[in-house]
Amino acid sequence: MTGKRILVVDDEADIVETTKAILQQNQYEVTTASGGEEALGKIKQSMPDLIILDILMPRKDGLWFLQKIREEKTTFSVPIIFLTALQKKEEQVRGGFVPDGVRHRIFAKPFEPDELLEAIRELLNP
Amino acid sequence: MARNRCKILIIEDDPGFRELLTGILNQMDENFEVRCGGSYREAREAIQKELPDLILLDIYLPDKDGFYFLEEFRKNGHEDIPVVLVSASGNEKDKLRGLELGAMDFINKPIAIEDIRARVAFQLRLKKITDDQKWACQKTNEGIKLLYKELEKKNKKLEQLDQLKDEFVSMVSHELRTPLTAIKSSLSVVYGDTEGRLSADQKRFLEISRKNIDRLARLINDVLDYEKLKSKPVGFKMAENDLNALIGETVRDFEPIAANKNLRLETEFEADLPKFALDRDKIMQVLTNFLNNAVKFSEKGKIRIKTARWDGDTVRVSVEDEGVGIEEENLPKLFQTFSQITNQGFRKPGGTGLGLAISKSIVEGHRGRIGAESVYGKGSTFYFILPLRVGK
Repeated sequence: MTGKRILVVDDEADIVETTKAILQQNQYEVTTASGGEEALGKIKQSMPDLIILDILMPRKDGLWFLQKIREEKTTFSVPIIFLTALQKKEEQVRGGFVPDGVRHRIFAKPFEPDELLEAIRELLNP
Repeated sequence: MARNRCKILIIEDDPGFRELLTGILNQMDENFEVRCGGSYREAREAIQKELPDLILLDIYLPDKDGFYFLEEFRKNGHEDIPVVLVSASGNEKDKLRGLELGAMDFINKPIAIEDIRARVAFQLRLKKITDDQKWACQKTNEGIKLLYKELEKKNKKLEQLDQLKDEFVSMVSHELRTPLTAIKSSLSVVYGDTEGRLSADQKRFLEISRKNIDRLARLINDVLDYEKLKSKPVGFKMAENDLNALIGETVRDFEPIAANKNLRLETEFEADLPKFALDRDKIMQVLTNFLNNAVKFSEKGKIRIKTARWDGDTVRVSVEDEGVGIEEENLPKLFQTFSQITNQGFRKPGGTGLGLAISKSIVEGHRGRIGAESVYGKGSTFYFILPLRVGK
């Protein structure tokens, strides 16, 4: 299961870097973005198999990005792992912001790296 | 003393008698301000101009009689101004009618000066008492209104503070979790990258870091959980659940941890237990907390997890251990916030001292009851009792 592409979107550089390292150790190909708009650009360059998305970011946040990729047929069904440090936002997502049919998981920070990897495997091999 | 002058109105059609009365009153007290009217019409004009403190009213007037004036006067809401009827007849029927219409007293013609003085003084004293009471009442009302306004202002401020606190907690939560995530992931990378190349010591210290980060994360979650439950006890996701199955699941998760310490887990389930409304995650949290404590404070023996029908339509869930037990005087402190920290004898590392306080909030949120029994040195039983019909 090597060669799968994962896009990591988080405004915290340290989170992006460490998450990227964990994923690379597990033979995933990783692209990163620090915000919603940059992430949209990255998607246009190369289509990821899965997106790890921080919900709370300054300016264009994760929910904005989610809306954008739902408008495109090509990105419509990419599985997503939401990261959140805020309970309120987490509830917002659980409360139905994620449209039916999107395969996703929600992880509260700080997450267990092993659990994240496990979730990625599940989402990539349904 | 800058006292208000007493205003007395005399309604009397006989000018001679009017003068006589005026004279008597002025002699009584030079501060009396006496005004006169000779007819119903003049009486009305007088009270429209200024309300007196006392009215002396002749029953027989040329236009409309005194009764008519009296009835109208009372109907217009002037309940607390005394009216004394002056009558030549001494007629009992007139007196009764006057009382019914709201007269306070009578003066009979021919008049006795001492009698008039006494009756006027008495009515004025009553009037003063009534006025004083009215004034005090009004002051009290004004005070209450002021207090109410003050309270409203304070309440609004508290609401704002509460909201600020929520935002603060939310912000702190975010600010604390983000660095923890980075640290956790970094450690994981080091582990993954150097597998087999770490010395025993390096591995041990990495393990210590990892353990303590997890502890910190737990602490943050506990504090936030507690905050949330305390400020907003609503928000339970109630659904019909099989309590026994839920407990079985939680207990299974604990098997490896218990086995590590050579503790046996035993379950005893009430067979006659309907599904009922509860918040699955939250009840699991309580049970996990109980089991954690039981394992933490036990060195040997078994831990018994039991469900049983209790009085009325309730179920009792208990976790019984054969551990160190709790001294009797410490039992009431158990469910208080940070009880672990304030109670050194009971303290064991790794907890936040919030677990049982959170559990209490959760159980009470289900309209249930939580408690503990213990024999020091023999073991403890922690239990909660839930009503089988909730949330309806």
